[in-house]
Amino acid sequence: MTQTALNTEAASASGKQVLLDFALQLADDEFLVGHTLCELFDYSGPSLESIVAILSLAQDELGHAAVFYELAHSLGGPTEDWAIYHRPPEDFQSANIAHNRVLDWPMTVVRMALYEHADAARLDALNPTTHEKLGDLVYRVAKEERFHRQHWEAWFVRLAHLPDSRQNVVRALAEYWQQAIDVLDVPDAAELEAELGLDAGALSPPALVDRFLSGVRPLFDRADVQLPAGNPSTWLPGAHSGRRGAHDAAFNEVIGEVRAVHERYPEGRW
Amino acid sequence: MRTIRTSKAPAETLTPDGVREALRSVEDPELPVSIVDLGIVHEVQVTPDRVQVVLMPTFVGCPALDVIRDRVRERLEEIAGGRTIELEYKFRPAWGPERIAGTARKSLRQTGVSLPMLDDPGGPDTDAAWTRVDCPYCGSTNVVMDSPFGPTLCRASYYCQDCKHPFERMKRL
Repeated sequence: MTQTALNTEAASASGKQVLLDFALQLADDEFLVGHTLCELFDYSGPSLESIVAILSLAQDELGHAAVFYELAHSLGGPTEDWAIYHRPPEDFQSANIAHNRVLDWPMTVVRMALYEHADAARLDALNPTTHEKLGDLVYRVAKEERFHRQHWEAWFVRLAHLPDSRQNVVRALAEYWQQAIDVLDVPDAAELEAELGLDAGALSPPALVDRFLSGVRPLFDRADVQLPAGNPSTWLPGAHSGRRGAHDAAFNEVIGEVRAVHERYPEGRW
Repeated sequence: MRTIRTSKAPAETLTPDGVREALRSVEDPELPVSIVDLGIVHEVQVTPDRVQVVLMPTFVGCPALDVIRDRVRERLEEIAGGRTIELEYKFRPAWGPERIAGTARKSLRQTGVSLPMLDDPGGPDTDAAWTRVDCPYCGSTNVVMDSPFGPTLCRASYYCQDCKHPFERMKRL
């Protein structure tokens, strides 16, 4: 085997690993978002319709997680059940915003509106991929995520225009702004672009953040709220995103809840 | 164990149309219509040794997907004449309500689900037909959307301001 062939093989092996990590990012994000939304059932949203909507939406996120776990498994990753119930917590690739919920309605609305826009930014960037399996999933999932955005945006605008809740929206924005941008922390963008047949730079953090900003600007206009203070050129995913095992303190608590029933009844089926 | 082959003759003459006809007896667990009329049976292929069916999920997160797959498999086992059954969900092209048959549209409307009808002026799947949301109970268009998520993923919640009835509307994907 020539040296060039060896190099190509090595490159594609590490490309596969990056793609696997990325598939787990997508799966873990959607899983934890779905799981934490389910908790709101108990807490209750402002109306019966909003609770029904949250659960329906949570179910969809869990469905997206399932197909992304399936993709990860086909790339040599763990099965869905193993990933959720047995994987060491530090192997979760999710961003902190995915599990970082507060049982408060304006906080939830802002967290979800920002998360959905960050999610849309990466799905849009993935759209032209030549990777058939991921491409089919992204194509389908993006169609559904449109409704999620529509739902959270409607609440975002509604709350921002109510005198009593406007300040809560602004406060929540400050809390979740960086965490939403952290969703755009992808593993080795250049390697991933090559593996997925995307243009060079398509998944670079500044390109993804630009997409995110052009998505949220019209929403902020409608809600008549300002982008958070700060220099936009510093709005980049940080090392504290939670990806690659560096989660915040709340993470282990949420994973403990996720696993509690399974640990108690390991043979249980539902 | 279920008897897979009841007689040889029907198995030999099995055609894709025959498979579709057989699958009419499989209802969607959440809607009062057959999965064939709902438009989620995408492709059917029959060869001497296998039956291949490709289904399309209405929504990726739909909890009925496994139930539908199991029911389809059971039904196929009855008619496959010993052929291998291959069953899968595909995501592209995506299912959309434009695939719903006319009879199914009528039964959906009768159960309180609004969606464009085949005889709508200008056709059932135009922007105009989807923008004009009407109450399935009184026909009024004086309606408001409560939420884009209803009791199932494929339906949104609406409220009729004339007859004061909440109702559901199929989503256009």
